[in-house]
Amino acid sequence: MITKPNFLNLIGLVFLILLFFISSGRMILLKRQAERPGHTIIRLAHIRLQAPFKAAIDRLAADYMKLHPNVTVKQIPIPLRIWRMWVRTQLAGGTAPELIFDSVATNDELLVRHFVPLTPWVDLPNTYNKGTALEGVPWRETFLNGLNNPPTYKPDLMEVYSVPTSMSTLRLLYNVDLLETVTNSREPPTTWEAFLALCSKVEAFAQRENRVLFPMAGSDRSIPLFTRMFSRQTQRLTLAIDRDRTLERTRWKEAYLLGEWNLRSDGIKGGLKVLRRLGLHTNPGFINYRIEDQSFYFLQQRALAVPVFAQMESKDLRDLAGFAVDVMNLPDPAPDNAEFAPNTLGPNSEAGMGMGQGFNVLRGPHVDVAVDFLHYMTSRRAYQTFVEISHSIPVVIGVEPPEGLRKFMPKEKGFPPGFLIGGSGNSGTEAERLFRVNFHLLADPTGSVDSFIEALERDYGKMLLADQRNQIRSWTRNIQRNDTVLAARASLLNPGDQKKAFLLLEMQNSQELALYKSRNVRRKTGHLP
Amino acid sequence: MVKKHLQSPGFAKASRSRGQAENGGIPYSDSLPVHARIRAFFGRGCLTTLLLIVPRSSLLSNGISVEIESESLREAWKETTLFLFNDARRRFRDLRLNKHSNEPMVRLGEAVNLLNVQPKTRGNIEQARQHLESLAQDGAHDEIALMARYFIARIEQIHDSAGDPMKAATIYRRLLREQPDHWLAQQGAVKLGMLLLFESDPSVDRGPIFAEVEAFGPILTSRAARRDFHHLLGRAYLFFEASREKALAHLMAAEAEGMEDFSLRADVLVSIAELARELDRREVAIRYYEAFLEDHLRDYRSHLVALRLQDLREKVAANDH
Repeated sequence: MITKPNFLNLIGLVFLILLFFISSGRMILLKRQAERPGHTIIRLAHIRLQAPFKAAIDRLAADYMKLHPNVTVKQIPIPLRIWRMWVRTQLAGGTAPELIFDSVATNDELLVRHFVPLTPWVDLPNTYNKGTALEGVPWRETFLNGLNNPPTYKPDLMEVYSVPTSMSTLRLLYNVDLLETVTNSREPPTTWEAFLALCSKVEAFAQRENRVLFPMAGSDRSIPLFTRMFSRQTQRLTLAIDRDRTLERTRWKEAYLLGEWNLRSDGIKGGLKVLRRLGLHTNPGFINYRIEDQSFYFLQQRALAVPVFAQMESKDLRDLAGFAVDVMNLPDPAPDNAEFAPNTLGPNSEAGMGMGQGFNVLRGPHVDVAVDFLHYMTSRRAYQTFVEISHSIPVVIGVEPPEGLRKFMPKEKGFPPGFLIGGSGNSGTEAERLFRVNFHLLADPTGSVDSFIEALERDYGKMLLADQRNQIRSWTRNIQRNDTVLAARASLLNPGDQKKAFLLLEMQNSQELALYKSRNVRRKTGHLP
Repeated sequence: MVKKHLQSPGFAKASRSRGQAENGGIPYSDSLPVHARIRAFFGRGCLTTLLLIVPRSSLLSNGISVEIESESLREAWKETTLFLFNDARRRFRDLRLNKHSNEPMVRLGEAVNLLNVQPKTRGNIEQARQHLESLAQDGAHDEIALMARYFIARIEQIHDSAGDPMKAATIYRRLLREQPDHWLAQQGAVKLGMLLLFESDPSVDRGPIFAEVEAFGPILTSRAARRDFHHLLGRAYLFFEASREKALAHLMAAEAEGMEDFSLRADVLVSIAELARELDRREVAIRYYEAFLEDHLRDYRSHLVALRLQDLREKVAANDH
């Protein structure tokens, strides 16, 4: 007689055996497919788990396979959490897919060792553009950024290693129905002052109705939206310390160490006041939440608005929400706002920002097919299909954004953003950690701008020095590496290598100049003997 | 540590005519024969260097590819360009142990790869230094000896954390004095300029140091060295707030030599235009703002640049009126 536990064990065993046979069958099928004479399998690994992106890749793969019956294109979506480890393992094990999403998992050393530079292809036309306005145009010039900037162009390697597939802007997604319930209007605020007034109205409404409702739901990923408002407040300060006259925000650390600004400078205080106001109107402790948490707040109508970085996230939320949704930008303080206007030049420009999300091509026997698929993917007609299904902002010239995405299009008429003291990857690891650890003092009702400044002031200089030291180490490693490569390029005596040697010298000297400037500041401030 | 003796004058009073190799402005993509293109990159010394360090190499008739005597030697250098320093070093070492006919070049390859072999150890750096020092003393191979001296200076300057930058400065000075036309000696002038300007005692007057570095200018014939030299000085005048006029002149000279990197050139164009605007050289400012907008329209600075350009044009028009 079969007892209940035995029966369950039996089911488990049958299930395992079944799985084994399914997996084996699948493996055999894949192997046979791969071994079919003249048949090529191109695998494409990425971290975009959003349904629209996967659907877009599937569609393009199907269309491509119709054109090339001897090629199979498969996508492998990998969760971000295991992405880096997965990529490294695949590369080390020699089982890496032919196309891998360009990300921090593939640093310069890995790129050079395992991937093919696309530079030889980018100056040739994309043949899939035949019959379009881009026919005969070099592949490089079919992209809005001309492939001249990171992350597609790797300046230290002087090569193009990927082509972009979309760009990313940051906006607020809001619940239109809820907005109407609270304000009797479906129109979002257009000024900073009106936005703050709306936040107060939402809070009063929540109290009156005795429900959990915040003006905004945030997560650790929301800080960039808030710090963009901060960077408007440091625009003038950035120009004031711009000794190089590049209109860039590159000198702020050095200027801090030399005492040209401090945490109580007008622009900084203005920026912190903006951050505090935004923080107070967001769910408490949001910096410790993950992106999924903020989505739940929004979908459960416990928040009026939510920052969305990628357009696909907004598409996912739109599809899931059982209410009307629209997109807005965080508005600027009015020009006559006595508190904030003096620090700013105007809205930040978003020109050329956030373009990327390309694929690196693995060295191996299928390079030509992999590059051909990238050609197809970024050709004008196929790419139009891609952006419509994936809900992406287009990066190919002449491709129209899908309806509903126009509010995500980058605002190019604007001023260079000022520097940030934290809240972005660019501020340096140590300064960033200090900023995040103390952020609750700024965003919590019991805190204040002054208490945040006091907490930061104690260690900020030390943190900047630590970040500067790390930067110097990184520059030094690059410079050392380039010395050896220079000797090789100069010895290989062919025009391609000579051109690279010429570029290499420029890059190396420019980096060495930056290194010596930093060392000089450290010496001047007594931090270097 | 105060490095006052870095500032010692006594740098070679070489005053060779810059006109000796004015082919520096020639783009590499044109249809010149390979030797002319190499000269355009690095200046006069380069061709002879490269031909000597690759004995029995032959320039092929199509003028593009060049045959290196040994495929394994080429492979070793190829691996170096792919950052496969450990593999390349092993390959060079094997070639050396197998008594490769081009022994000096093999030793040079092994030495420069040792500088980046992982894990980085003092032992490897010392071994590289020994190889280079013996090559530097080998009079039979002057060109390789020069390269070896340059890389010894680089070890002192940047590779060895306990290195002596003063020793590097001394080597750069000697290279410039003895072979001022050589492209590596000219690169040494740029490196020496950096040491003099930035590594000297911060309390010392920068005037004489700038004068000393400025003196390198007339001897530089390689376009790469001239470009980087002017860029260095332009940035240094701004960094030390020494002279906006001189900074402007040097940055314009660097730009005229041809900045290759897209972002670096964008920065230089903006700096030139901004400095010219400050110094009320409106025509110059307008020209460089226009150049920036022509090539960098999708840069996030373009709107501000366009506003400044418009403002300047209005001022010029008002003056004309």
